[in-house]
Amino acid sequence: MTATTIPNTPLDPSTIATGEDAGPTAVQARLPLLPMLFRSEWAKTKTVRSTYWSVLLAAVAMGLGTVIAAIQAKSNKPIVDPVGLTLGGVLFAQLAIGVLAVLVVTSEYSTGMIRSTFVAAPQRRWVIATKAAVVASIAFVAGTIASLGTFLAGQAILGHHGVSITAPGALRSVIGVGIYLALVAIFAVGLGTIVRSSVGSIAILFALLFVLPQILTALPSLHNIAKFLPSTAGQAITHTAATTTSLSPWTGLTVLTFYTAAILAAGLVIVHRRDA
Amino acid sequence: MTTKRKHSPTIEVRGLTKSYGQTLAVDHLSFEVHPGRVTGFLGPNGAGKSTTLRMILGLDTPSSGVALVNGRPFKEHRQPLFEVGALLDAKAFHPGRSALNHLCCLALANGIDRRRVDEVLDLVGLTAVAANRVGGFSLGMDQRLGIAAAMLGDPHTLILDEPVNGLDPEGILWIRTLMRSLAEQGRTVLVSSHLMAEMALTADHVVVIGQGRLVADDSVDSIVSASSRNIVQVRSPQADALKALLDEVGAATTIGADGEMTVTGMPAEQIGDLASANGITLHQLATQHASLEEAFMQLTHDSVEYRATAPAHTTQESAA
Ligand SMILES: Nc1ncnc2c1ncn2[C@@H]1O[C@H](COP(=O)(O)OP(=O)(O)O)[C@@H](O)[C@H]1O
Ligand SMILES: [Mg+2]
Repeated sequence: MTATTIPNTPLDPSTIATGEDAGPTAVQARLPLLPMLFRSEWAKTKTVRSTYWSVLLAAVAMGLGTVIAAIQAKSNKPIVDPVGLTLGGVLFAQLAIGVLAVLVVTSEYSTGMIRSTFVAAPQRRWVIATKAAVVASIAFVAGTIASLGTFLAGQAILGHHGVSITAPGALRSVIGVGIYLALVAIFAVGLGTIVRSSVGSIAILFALLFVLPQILTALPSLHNIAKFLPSTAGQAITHTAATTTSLSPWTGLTVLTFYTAAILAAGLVIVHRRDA
Repeated sequence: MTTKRKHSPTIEVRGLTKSYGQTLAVDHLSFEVHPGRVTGFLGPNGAGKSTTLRMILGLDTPSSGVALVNGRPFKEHRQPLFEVGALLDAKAFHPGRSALNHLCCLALANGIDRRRVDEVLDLVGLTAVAANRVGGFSLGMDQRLGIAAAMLGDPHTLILDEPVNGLDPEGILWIRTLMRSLAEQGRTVLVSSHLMAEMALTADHVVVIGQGRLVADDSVDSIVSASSRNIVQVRSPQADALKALLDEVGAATTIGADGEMTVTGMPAEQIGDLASANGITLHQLATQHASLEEAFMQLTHDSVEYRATAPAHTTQESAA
């Protein structure tokens, strides 16, 4: 990177104010808070590279479903849940989306940006809620598109074992991935707000969404606990075959929604109380 | 109180207190900041300046007391950038964003026009590097970007925490000129510094704190003239007799080789009165004002001593 230098501009006091009036500046039209915050948070998300990397990574992770499908197609074993099989990449996509959502909050704390943000918008709880809304929207749209793409490609690879989007539960599962990732994003925003540190938040998120379910589902005696974990519960929406080791799709999604609401609420309480 | 202000204060701090665990960072601090002048907020490092400014800006919650901006707590302001602009002591931006994008993000949060973003970039001289990532900026450019952000809403009040820290002379002059012209336009400028010499050149009024407590709140001129560090130079044919008298009342005296006596700790008027009451002739009686730096050293030194020798204060406080 070449060193940038400041152009030597002499200060002209007459350019300081937009108006000549030196008195208190008239406050411009009172604009509604939420649209302003949404535009600001949207612009912030759009103007950092990590957003694009995370979304790309999430899409690639979803695409793993086609690889799983290809392996399955070769082995020629009977397939119980062809829909859930091609959507298996959600296990990794959730991590990419989770990192994105955590960073939307924690990068502001680590860089000091949060203070600029809160001086411009002291309504901290709305700021955090808006961040959640922005990343949830991105997660839902990107997640659903990637999920649909993987589903279609994956089913094609499965050949005669594959199903169409009109098959029972197929469309629900495909859109369910988008909903699931949106909830994970909100969950991660809440977590990042509570923990504040990027590394700490990401470690907790990975442990909670990825490591813990792997451990618990590996132990048959703990299945009854495992199915109530946030990620295991939420991912039920991406499966079409009911099993005894998981909740039903909508029950599972409801459980995840409760976790998400609780952690976001905790984040909102904390951001309001704690010093920035 | 010297003159009656025609404006009500823009910033009011009343009994502001902040403790971080055992550390009492700000201790029952009260002062007002008025428009039309540069108010220096002085104190040695760790005195509690940044903490106070963060509380004024609603970033830190006071343990007790209030800070009002335009009569209301900062947190109650909507679109606050139109009223208050702030430059904080630490970096307050994401290094991966360009200067332009950083300012746009903040502007959008208050419904500020894109045109104004270009204006403030121009004002601080960053137009040419607006598209560069701010992570590659020098300290001087960081400060300029912070000033640009503070000026986004063309606010009536500016709060700047150590704006000249680490700047080259050119940058210091630039910020000083900016602050002076903002105050001349009738705006309120509150600027913190631990550098007294800098404030002597910039501020009209100073609020001095030491260990979180108010030490002085006065115009720069009266702080300097009231300082007991002021040196009075005296010439007298009866120098030895005068020295004895002065020593008796506790003023510090030294007599130079040329017979000139320098007196500290007593104003010239009192020395003159003392001399005439005792029939001593004076040939010269002149005050040499201490610099603001010296006045400040003395003020903060006194406040430290006061704390060390006045344990009764704490009991008084808990009773209150
Ligand atoms: N977030 C914090 N946590 C703990 N102590 C703090 C915090 N911020 C400031 N302090 C302490 O409060 C005191 C005042 O600090 P500060 O306001 O930064 O002083 P100044 O800006 O005048 O140099 C210092 O003793 C500092 O260590
Ligand atoms: Mg400081």
